[in-house]
Amino acid sequence: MSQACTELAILDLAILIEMYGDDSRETLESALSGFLAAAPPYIQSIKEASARRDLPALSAAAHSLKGIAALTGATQLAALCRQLELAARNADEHALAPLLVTFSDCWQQLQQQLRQQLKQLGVAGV
Amino acid sequence: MLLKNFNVLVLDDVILMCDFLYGVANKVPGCKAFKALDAKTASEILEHETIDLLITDIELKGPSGLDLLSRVRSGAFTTTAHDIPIIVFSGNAYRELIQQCILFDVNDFLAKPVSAVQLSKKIQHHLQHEKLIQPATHYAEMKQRLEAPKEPNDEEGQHRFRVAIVRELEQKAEQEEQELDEQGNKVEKRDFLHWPEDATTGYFQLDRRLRNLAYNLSCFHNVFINNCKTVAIDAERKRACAAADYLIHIAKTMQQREQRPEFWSMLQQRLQKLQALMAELAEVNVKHHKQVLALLKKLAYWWMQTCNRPLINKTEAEDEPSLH
Repeated sequence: MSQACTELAILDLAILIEMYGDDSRETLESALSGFLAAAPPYIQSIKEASARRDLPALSAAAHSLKGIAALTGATQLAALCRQLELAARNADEHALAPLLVTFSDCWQQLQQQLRQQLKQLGVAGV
Repeated sequence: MLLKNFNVLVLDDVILMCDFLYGVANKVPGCKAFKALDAKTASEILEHETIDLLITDIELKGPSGLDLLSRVRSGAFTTTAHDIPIIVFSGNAYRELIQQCILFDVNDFLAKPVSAVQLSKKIQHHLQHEKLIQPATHYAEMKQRLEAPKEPNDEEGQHRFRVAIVRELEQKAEQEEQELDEQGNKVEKRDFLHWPEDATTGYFQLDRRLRNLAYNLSCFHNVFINNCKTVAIDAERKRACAAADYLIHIAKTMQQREQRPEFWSMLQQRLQKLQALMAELAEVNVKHHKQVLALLKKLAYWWMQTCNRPLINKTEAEDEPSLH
């Protein structure tokens, strides 16, 4: 199931532009830097909830992250969050383990791409 | 575009999402947006601002979106009306939560992510198309029942829910039938009291209450004329009285904040007359047909006098002399 996720784009700016209905530099910068700042607490929550096997907390954090990832065009992360949310809700621990590995890799790649895009937009210190 | 001076409240506990929704709502022509990250802040805004549309996520940290919207529908907030349009982000919410939202007559369900264009269209649609909402007491009772500890085999409670839904479905079916008549067969079938589609007082909140009053008085008229059972006539009479009370209450609250003193003074004169007529309606013995018919005639005359210039105007064709 995570294979299907990895076929999705890590960051799709066309989706972001469609979501915000605006392709201005300000909007892109604000959306990308906003996501880069907003996502880490949820990533952390997912990891912590997974470590202590707190499935409701994991599901809630994945649910929140899923929404903003989809809004930002982070399609792969959004799809993984959706699967994590469902697996946690169904207490499907077999599905959770591989998803969490893919999730960490995806987040690493996404961070790189976000920083790269922000640099291209001329944002310093990312 | 009809939209003007609407307050839209967005509630989402994810900051980035909340900011996005807030930004979109603020850009809708004629709308001013408010945002809240939790139900407590949202409650404070609903209490102190006249909110015209609520957009909320259903799953929140702390009190849920359902809890908040059930309080709105139950009339828990003095400044915000109970029958405002409510749009819910349901996502992968549990079925039970969604079913409860339906019981509270939520206007729309959306799934995230929603684009700015889609959301903007939804906001405009729901500010211009009214959904029939029951009196606040109906939802307050339902909220109480839902919050009460469940007892095994509570058949009475289940039965009551079914009745509530059936009434809603019947009304929808009637509306659809009427629409079909009007559109398809071109049958000229007028309600006892009719609120023209393009009429406005200039205040969205008042328009909705006047339309609601017309609808409820027409329902009372229909059950009375069709010699329905006394219990049905009484039920419609109560609804009509509640609709009038709500109109009077909202007008009083709005008058304290709004400009146009001449408009408000004139409206208050009309509402005082309405209050007297509705007091008569509340007391009249429905078995005394002549008395009820005379009273209905007075109400129709009141409506005709009220639904005219200068209190009420047309939204587009300003050059027409009268609504009637």
